[in-house]
Amino acid sequence: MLEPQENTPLEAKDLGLSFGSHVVLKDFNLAVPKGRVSVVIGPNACGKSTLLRSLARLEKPSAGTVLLDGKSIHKQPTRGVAKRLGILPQMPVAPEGITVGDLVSRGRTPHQSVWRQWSRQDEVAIQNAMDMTKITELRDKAFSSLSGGQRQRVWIAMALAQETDLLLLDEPTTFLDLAHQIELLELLKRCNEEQQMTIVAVLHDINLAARYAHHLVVMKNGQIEAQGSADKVITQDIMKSTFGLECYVMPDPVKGTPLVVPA
Amino acid sequence: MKLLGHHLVVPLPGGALLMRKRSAVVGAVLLVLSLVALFAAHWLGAYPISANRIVPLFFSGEGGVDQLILLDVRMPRILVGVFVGGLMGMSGAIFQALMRNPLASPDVLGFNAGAAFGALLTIFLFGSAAYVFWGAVAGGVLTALLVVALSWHRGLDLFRLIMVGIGIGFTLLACADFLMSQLDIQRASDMAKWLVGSLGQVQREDIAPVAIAFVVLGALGVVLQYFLDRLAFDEDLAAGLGLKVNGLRLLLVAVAVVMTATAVAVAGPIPFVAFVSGPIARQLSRTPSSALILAAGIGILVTLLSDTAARTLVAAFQMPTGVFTALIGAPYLIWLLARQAKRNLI
Repeated sequence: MLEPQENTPLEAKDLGLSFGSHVVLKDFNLAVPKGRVSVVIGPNACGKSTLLRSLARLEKPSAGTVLLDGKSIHKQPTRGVAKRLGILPQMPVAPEGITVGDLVSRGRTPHQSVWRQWSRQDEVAIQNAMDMTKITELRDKAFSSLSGGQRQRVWIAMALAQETDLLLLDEPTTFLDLAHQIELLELLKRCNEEQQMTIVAVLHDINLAARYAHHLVVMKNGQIEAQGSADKVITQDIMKSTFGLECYVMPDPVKGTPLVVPA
Repeated sequence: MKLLGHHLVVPLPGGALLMRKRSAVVGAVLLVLSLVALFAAHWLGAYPISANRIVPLFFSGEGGVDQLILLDVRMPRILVGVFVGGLMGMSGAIFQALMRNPLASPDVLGFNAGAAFGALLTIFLFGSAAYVFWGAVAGGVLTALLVVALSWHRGLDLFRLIMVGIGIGFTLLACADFLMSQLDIQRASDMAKWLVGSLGQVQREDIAPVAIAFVVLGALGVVLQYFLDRLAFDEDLAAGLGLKVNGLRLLLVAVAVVMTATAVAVAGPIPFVAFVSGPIARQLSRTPSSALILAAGIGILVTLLSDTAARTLVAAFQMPTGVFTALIGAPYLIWLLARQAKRNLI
């Protein structure tokens, strides 16, 4: 077995988090596998978003730690963390009147300073991010004029311009129709395959999660119910115990991954 | 310098700045307009001075009545107006960008009322105007601290800040009204600028504090604008980009509060300058940025035009500057509220 730091860039160790008396995460241990797509699923209010926000140092844990490259993420300079890890929150807010090009270029912030607001590397990174997400021709459009699917691609482009090898996304497919959900997940798959990005996403759709995740994490009441490959984790029993859902699990006719059909 | 889409890249040793082309053009136009307004303000007035003598009078040593009126009466008031207008414009633009809400300017949030109340309180306590400046600064800062403390909820809660600010503002204005009612009628009419805002009682000594504040805080604001423009994302995104969100917000609030308090200390709570400058600057330059330099330009222009009108429109009677800034600002407020109501934002 490899050293833990080598196969996991990001790790939750005995993580606990409470808001007042409400316990959201309890003794949570998770090692995010390097260079893979991990997807977190679970019923509403099971603590998925809080987990993702904790992994991205946006929440301060009440117990335990989050380790980035083996060191506590809260003890590292936040700008340095931003060069390693990008986070796309659930419903990001764009500044009023901003264009697509400007928005994507804000992703360069951790690589810039007040004195150096622009560099050749910025230009290259932004162009690459726009090529990857196919939004180059939208560059001068107002962000507010875009459709939901386009907006989501622009947000991903901003995260890509940040040039991190870790990308965390909180329900990136919410409010998208099925075709655009697939488009977005294919994009994330390409980011993972072509740029070896480690991706952690919270998703609602179990079947899509099963199709795109290398590593699935099933959460319930702030704890891990099961984790591993989709084949291992998506079973009748686990669906029943986690979601309270009676269902059949059969192979997806296209990809062969497990497909949940409610009974 | 080179072009990059809508931007100019301004090279620096070991770095580079980005500037929008349109903002540069708007800035140049504002500069020209401000110079014209500056000249007109010196020229116009109850005492006639011919236009072609204005510039020579600044440099001659003749010491006549014309020069006395120009340099001792008009110039201090006009220069203070320039710096006060610029400070209020920038302060408003910072608050509006921080709160992501055009309603959130320091005059709306009660900080101007706090500064005015602080000033009035020192007059009431010490019986003289000696500590007015520090009273206003302390009043503005303490009001801001109170508003921030009352709206703090696991970080700076912007919506609560606006609500609490409006409430505290009205309370302090009522307190100021009460203090005024305790003064004799002569003192009260002298102190009226603490309710409406006016450059009428400005003196030569008032120039230095606002000039220094304008240069120092303005420079600081322009440097911080890089971060301010990135805080315009929601706080998760801004934090994800590696910004220390709470620290930067507090720093920017502190800069903006001292800007507005310094301006109020000298000119009273001139209304609406802070409120209209940022939005007008952003509309003209069509930028998503907080455009602090342009906001300062609009603030200067609005204040200069309003004060010139206040001085000259009714010759026998000098009206407070705030009456005219309100004439410009109030219709904008109504338009803004109507638009937000239409979009179901309020």
